[in-house]
Amino acid sequence: MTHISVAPGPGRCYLRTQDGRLSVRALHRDPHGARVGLIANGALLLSGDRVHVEIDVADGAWLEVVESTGTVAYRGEQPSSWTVDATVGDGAALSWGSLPFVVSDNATTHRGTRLRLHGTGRALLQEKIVLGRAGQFGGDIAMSLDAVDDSGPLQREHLDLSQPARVLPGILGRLRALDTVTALGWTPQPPEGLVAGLSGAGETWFPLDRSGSVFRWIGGGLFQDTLGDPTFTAWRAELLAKYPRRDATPPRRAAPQPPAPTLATRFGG
Amino acid sequence: MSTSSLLLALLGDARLPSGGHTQSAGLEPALRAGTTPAEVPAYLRARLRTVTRVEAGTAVVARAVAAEGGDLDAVEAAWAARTPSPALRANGRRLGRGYLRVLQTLWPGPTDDRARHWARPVVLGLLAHRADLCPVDLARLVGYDDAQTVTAALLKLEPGDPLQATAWVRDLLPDIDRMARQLAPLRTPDEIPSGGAPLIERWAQTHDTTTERLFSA
Repeated sequence: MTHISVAPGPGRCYLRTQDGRLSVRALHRDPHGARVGLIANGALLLSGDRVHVEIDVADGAWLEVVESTGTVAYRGEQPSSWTVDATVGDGAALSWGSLPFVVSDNATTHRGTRLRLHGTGRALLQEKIVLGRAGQFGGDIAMSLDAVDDSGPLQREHLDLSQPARVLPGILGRLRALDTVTALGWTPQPPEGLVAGLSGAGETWFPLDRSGSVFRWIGGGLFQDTLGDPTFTAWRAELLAKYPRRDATPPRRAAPQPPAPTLATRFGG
Repeated sequence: MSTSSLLLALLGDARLPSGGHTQSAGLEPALRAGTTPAEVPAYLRARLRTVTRVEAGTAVVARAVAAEGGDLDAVEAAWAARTPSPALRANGRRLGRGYLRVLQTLWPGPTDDRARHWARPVVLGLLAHRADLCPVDLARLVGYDDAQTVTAALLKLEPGDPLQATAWVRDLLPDIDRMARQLAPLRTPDEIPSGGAPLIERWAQTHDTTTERLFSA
């Protein structure tokens, strides 16, 4: 299990981490929060792998999680899983922009996120799912989100994207990629350029019933997705605006940056 | 035949004046997005696995909560958290008001002021409690009504053989029954299924901004 907890501290925030299948590297720290990178300890996600990340963002703190590489769920007899359990305190913020998660042929995997917001806590998540590597149809994935705050449920969704279910009209049909940006705890506006459209592929903005917004793009391949990253970037700026940060540079969204030397060394191994 | 069976027939009848004639259960935008009439049986199965299951589970839990004198607002909140599309939430609440009129006229009783804002499955659960419709029949009603709504709308949108459309619903009956038996024991809002259908939800939003349409949803 990988664990990350952050709390405000004098001069520099308190950051406690525990490595599991994913290692945690602090990329930036200030008195209120931290940006951390997740690095896979070896090949992920193999048959039977269970990656679990626990996050605790204390009252008033911010935490930004970035991934260094995308993840491939490989084929195998045993199902694999990637689960996240996060608690965000009053006045706190969590941002996690995932890189593409690719489901190989004959893989069976589950991505699950549980999120508890307290008080005025906010969270922003981005998940990119691709069904199949190049030339593949893709294996089975189930995705779930269970988000609550002090008043009750915010969003609850279980997507059965196993092959027999997802090909049905109204689920995904012939489409094979999703990009979902979920803001919880506030309701950011849709990105400029969003067109309702009538065809299967495209993007949609869903203001949730209580406090939250979901942007979801569905299409044939992520290269067609032009609004997912700008939406995440804009909503992230809103999320983190109230925290005075010495380093306000976006971590990776505008243009790919070469990894820091320490990360490059680790990848080489 | 138990009273519950006759109640099921009464409530599942398209002639029930509850506002069902305005509905296509998402079929109108689905056809506009390229779904073909031949794919309608698969579309019915997609709904039964996802949005209809949420609807039926919500109704069953609302019935159980009403029977125990619990707070139906919590059931409404659970349904809303499982319904990301604001167009579908607004439609569900519009239909809820239609069923509230059925409830207050046919099975009158003290009703919470907040009931005017409850979605159809929540009101339907309260109605089932008051009318003594058993949980499995309640879930069957939701599943059956959804399938009939799709196929009836198809006949208006893409006229074809009405018996073929009826055969598709007949073929789905075992699946509806299986879903109903699975959902009938549910008791608490947390147990309500949360299956999502990304394209159905997207189409509901695009349909909401379309001016030329036959059905409201």
